[in-house]
Amino acid sequence: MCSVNLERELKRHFGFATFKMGQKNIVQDIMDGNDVFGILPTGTGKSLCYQLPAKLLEGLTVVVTPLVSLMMDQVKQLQAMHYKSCAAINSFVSWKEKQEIYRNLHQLDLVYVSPELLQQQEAKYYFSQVKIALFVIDEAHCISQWGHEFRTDYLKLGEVASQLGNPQILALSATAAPEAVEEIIQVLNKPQMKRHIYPMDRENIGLVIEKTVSDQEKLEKLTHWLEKDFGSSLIYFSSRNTCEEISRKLVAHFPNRRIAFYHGGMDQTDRILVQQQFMNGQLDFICCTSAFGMGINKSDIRLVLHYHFPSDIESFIQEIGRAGRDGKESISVLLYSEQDIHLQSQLLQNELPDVRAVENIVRIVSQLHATKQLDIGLGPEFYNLFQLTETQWRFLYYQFEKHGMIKDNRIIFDQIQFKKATEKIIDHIEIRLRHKEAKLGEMLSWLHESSCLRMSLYKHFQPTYTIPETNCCVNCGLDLTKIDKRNTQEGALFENWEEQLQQLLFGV
Amino acid sequence: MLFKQVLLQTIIRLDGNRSVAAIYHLITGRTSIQTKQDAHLFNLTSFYGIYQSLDKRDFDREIRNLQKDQYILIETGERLFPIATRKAVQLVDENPVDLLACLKGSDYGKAAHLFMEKLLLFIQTIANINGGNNSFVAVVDDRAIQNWIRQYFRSIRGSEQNVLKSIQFELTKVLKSFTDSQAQIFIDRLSGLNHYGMGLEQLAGKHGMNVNDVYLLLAAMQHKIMDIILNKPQDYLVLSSFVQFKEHKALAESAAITKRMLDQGMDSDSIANLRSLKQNTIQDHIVEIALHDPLFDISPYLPKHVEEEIKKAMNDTKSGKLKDIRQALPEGRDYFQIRLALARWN
Repeated sequence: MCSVNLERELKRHFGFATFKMGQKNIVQDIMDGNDVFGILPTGTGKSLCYQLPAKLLEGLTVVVTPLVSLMMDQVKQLQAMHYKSCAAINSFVSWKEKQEIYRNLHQLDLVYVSPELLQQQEAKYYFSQVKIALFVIDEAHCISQWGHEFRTDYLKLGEVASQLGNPQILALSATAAPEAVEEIIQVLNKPQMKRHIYPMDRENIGLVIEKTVSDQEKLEKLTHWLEKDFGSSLIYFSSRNTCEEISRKLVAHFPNRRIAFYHGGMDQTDRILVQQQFMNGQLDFICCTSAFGMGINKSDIRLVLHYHFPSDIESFIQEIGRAGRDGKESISVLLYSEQDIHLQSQLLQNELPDVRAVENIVRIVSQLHATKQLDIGLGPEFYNLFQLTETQWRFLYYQFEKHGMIKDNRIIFDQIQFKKATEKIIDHIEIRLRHKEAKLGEMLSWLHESSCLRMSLYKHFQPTYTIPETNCCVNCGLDLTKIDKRNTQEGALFENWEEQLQQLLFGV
Repeated sequence: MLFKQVLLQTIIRLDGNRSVAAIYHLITGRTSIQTKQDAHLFNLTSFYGIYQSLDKRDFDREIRNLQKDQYILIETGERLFPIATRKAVQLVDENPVDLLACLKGSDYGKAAHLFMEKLLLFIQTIANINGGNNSFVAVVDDRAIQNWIRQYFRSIRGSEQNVLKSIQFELTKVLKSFTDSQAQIFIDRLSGLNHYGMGLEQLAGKHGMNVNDVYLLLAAMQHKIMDIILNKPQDYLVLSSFVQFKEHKALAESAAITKRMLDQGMDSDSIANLRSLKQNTIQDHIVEIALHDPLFDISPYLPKHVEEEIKKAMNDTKSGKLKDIRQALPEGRDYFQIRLALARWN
């Protein structure tokens, strides 16, 4: 295998002459048969690290991806490059097509799936019928960021890998703190993984924090920043309602700017349209929640502004990392108000079930058992009884399964086991809460940093960082004139709809 | 306004005989026989399935608003039966919305959605390919529609230019049947060469409407467009090729099987046995068959004298509620017979 000339293969399959930073080392390690953990900064071509080996290795490469839109984008891009032997299996694929993909697995090089799909019996069956050469976990930080609460199937990936015959594993991420890296490796149960960790600081993104005391002042500061008229801008919110509300205010305030909002509560078609308009330069500002961004590969985002700060530093680094992928000067602005702390701690607590709800479930279940009525469904009609959200129930469901209280979607009641497990689960909730609070605490302490924001932001992740030539942070001094102004085309104005139709169809 | 009008007109016609849930089923086009029968019975076929993706929470919120603004009263009881107030009747009378008359839910509900998806993807594809841009992201994710468009392109290979001109001509012509502002919304929705069209939220923002109204406005326009092109398909050769009428088939698959077995002389008990279905299900099928086929003989299930009794009971109670009718009937009459009778009188 070592004899493969990787540059030649790169040229042959992708048309590139040279690798970008980190790619070659990772690919080489995979080709040498190692399990690899790669952390590469955003925008450096992480996916090539498995797309090339997928072509070279004998067998199938399975890529676990968190979002359907990400897999669709990847497959579309690959197919546009004539990399045809790939597919994605998700809810947009019809039953018939899914069967076809499964039947032809042995002919494919690359298949994208979600962690949830891998829990389906059907998927397990078909994947166990082929040789899996490489098992990839893309955006691997999801394991530690989402695995505990709302995407618990992420925690089962280690188990899945062993069911699939222990293929080689590649975990990829753009942002993971050292503790997170170790946790992910533990979940995957591959202590010998080769770690390739590249610095994630971005010297072309200047950092600003501005303190505000009221919503009014926040809005003023927001419009002030937007009036500077940098190019494409992202504005992040933690609440869908605020996101829509501020978006409407901005539309009124900036009649000549093209503004839209985007969040996870919107209809799928609307989401695709807004995302593509943004990519296509049809929008200047986009108001969004964290649902927007993963997989957004727009190179000329100049400003990422946080109207609300996120609940941990990893998320913040991921979100600002969408700015300046073209290497040009860009800026991150965070508007901080003390009231936002309440919002964040509220959101944080809502992610986990209340301890009383857990006790209630146990009480009711034991009553049902006593009256032999335990044969009940565990869907919304069940968890709504205890006023749990879907996320909270998913967390509990996973815990119940883990402690043998639920098996094959049925409750297995045992008085003693239940009592013991409940205590453990309640402890675990406490631990998770404390963990999240600690994460939030890190974020808050960064918000109050009075010396260099850059040094302080990256210190948890890496020993050093590159000192920028132009813009470091608001505490070290900034020169905003170095940031490009907006030069996107003003949306064409039409006399009437007939003219607009002409433009749509013929471009003139 | 459109959404509010649809809800109020529905509630007015139901006249307290159906629950809030039944209204939601009607508008979202639930395929149960009860809902289909309601649509016929209360002359609401035009609203059947006009908004299949309507979110239950949006619907509930709007109902609460109507209640709060005293357009409707809701009897609280086991289920919620809304009744329209005079204020509602006045609002509907004084603000006629022409577009609502274009809705033909029972006929076009599903077909219009497919038509629109095909049209959106087709226009985006042909404009970009003709303009030399091969790297656009399809605005319709549905694989079946994508495959359909792919095949369609194969069938027009070589004459793309002409088809593009025809579609411009046909669209312009058909959109002239609407006001300029309606046509504008329709055009804003379209994606074309190097351009992605607006989402519903964006249209709502731009045109100062709410999202549900935008949805229904586009639905009504789609229904009217389908009406126009189906009346004169020779004038709309490209557009009419996007209309597929498989959805028009009268009976659901399972009911059709039951009908075939009945036609072969089997009785409902043995059909239920043979197909391992409940007797209730077979009865649902029979009601559905009666609803669609005026020549279907219902007398084996509903003797003439019972039909007369039901007719009388309905007149006496002046109610469309099955429960009320049943209470006015002699012992031994069941809901199946009442529903069958109602099906026949449509």
